[in-house]
Amino acid sequence: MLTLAAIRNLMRNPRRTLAILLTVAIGTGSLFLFHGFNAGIMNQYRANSIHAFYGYGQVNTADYREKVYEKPWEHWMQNWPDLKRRLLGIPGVTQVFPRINFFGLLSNGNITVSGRGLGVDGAEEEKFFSTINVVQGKMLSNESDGILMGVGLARSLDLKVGDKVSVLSNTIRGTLNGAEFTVVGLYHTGMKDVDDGTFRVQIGQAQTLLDTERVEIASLGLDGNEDWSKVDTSIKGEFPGIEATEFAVLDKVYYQNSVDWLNAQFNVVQFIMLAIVVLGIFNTVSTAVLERKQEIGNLRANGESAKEILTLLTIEGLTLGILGALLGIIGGYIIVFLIIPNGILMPAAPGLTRQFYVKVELQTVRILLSFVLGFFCAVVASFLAGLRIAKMPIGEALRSN
Amino acid sequence: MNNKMRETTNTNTNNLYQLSGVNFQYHLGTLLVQALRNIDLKIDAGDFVCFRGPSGSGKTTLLNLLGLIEPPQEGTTLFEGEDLSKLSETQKNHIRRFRIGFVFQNFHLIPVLRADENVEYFLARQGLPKKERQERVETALKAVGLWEHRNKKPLEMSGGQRQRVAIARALAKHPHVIVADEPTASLDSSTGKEIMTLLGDLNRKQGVTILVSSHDPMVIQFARRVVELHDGVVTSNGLAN
Repeated sequence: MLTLAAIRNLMRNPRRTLAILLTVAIGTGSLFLFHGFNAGIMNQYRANSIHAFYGYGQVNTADYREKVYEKPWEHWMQNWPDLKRRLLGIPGVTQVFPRINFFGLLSNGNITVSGRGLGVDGAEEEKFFSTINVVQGKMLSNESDGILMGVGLARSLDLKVGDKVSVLSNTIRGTLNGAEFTVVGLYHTGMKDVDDGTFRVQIGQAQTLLDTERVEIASLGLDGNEDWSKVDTSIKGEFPGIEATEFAVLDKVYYQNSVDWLNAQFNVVQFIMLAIVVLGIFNTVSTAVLERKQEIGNLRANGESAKEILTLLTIEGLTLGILGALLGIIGGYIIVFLIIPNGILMPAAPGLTRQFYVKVELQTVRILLSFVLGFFCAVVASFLAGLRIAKMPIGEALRSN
Repeated sequence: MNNKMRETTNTNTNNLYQLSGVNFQYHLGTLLVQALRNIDLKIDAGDFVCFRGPSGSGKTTLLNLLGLIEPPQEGTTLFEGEDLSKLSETQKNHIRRFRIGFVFQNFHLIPVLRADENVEYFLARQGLPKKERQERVETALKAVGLWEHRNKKPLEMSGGQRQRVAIARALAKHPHVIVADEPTASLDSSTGKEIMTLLGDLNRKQGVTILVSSHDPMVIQFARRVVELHDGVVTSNGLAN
């Protein structure tokens, strides 16, 4: 009978019940949607960063990143074909992208400017580095004499897609070497130094220019970011003299600092939201309970104990909490899967030049936590308001308006 | 003093209530109100007492004290020989649940329950089996003439019907006493008279003690005894004419 009365009490005042349900639902929904949005931003930003330049990480000879050498090529990785085969044998590693950095002079016949070249495996990188912002032409693929240039560098040389350009470079022995390339595409990174002074050619061409068979660094493609730690462990154990560095460390200034900064900001916003949600639920539920003083007074006058009143109100709070939190989660799912199935279009993130869609990532643990929070707030608010009202002298409760 | 009443000395040993030297005060904002002053009163089982007096005279406070709604503060209040000040909350809940029926001016029915469920609710809380509950509900609702309206919810009923449900609710508990605070105040005069007739019948036919507060002369006609209060003091206590 007590439960029946509690359930029917919820239907007695639909507007009040709806207000409580919506408060709990909006509170619960907004919390897990906000977290899902944050997770989506971080994951998308991470994916964009990985697929922009560094991959999931890089390998090079030990201490190569930390030291400056007079002849750096002497410290590049040797026996690359064998090393590549062994790296690809590590569980979780799906692709390996060898690279060489070098300096060269680029000439269109009339003008000569200096630039920093990067030798890459065009055919492989084209498949993986999908977030490079190619504004004209295409990515460097398997064109043996292809060159991909920063837009500023191309402008300096008055080059466009399809034009020829000569690249001169010193070999590692100090002699001059040169090759002719065809412009396949122009990229824009948003960083003037990069756009005005960098270019990419096939790694074979770069090795010929430098007269070396070594590889300076190699980026890694993995099954997923979660594989990094075991790949790192494998490299440490099986590849003496080689060190691996995760992309977040390599890209610390843009990626990791941005992530840390955004996380700090999100945490503050989340704390404010949490406070608003908790106070909102407490206020709505408490008000709904406290406006029933006369009714509670009547029940007490007819022999209900304070404990029984508390039970009645807590059952109501429990029911509202469960229904409201469920409603919030269902509402969240409807928003994510029906209203914004493609995600939310975001402006270009730090270090990136293009807008990107962020999908709200619904994580089971967060959904459960939000559910528990909404439900818990409703129950506790009912209990506390119920405690106050149940302990009120019966006469005072009956006299109240 | 009302000439329709005459002073009487209660020699009946079947006391339901016995109050001596009862004082009661409460705060109204910052004001301390002395609601009852040195009340000495005996009420017999089976009596029909009307507490009369102007607003603020202490009628409701006294009824609340007798209904165990307000806790005793000073003096002695015995109910069926038990000193109320010495009872635990559990014992008082038990008395309110089993031995006292309430009828309030504003009915105080549970709006979400039908008339029969309103009557049955407190019977279920008494722990009675379903069959006995149903029998008592039927008897009580028939006694107040609302059996045909048993499926209606309070908001679907008139004021008089709601008050009759409240009486049926009190009656079905098989209480020793029904405490009715201004039971006709929210009703028109003819409905009020019907309600009082009903309470009078309960008193006469079933021997239920009825304690009513009112300043309505019509209500007083139904009482066997009238206790007049003024500023918290019993100014007269006698049989009604």
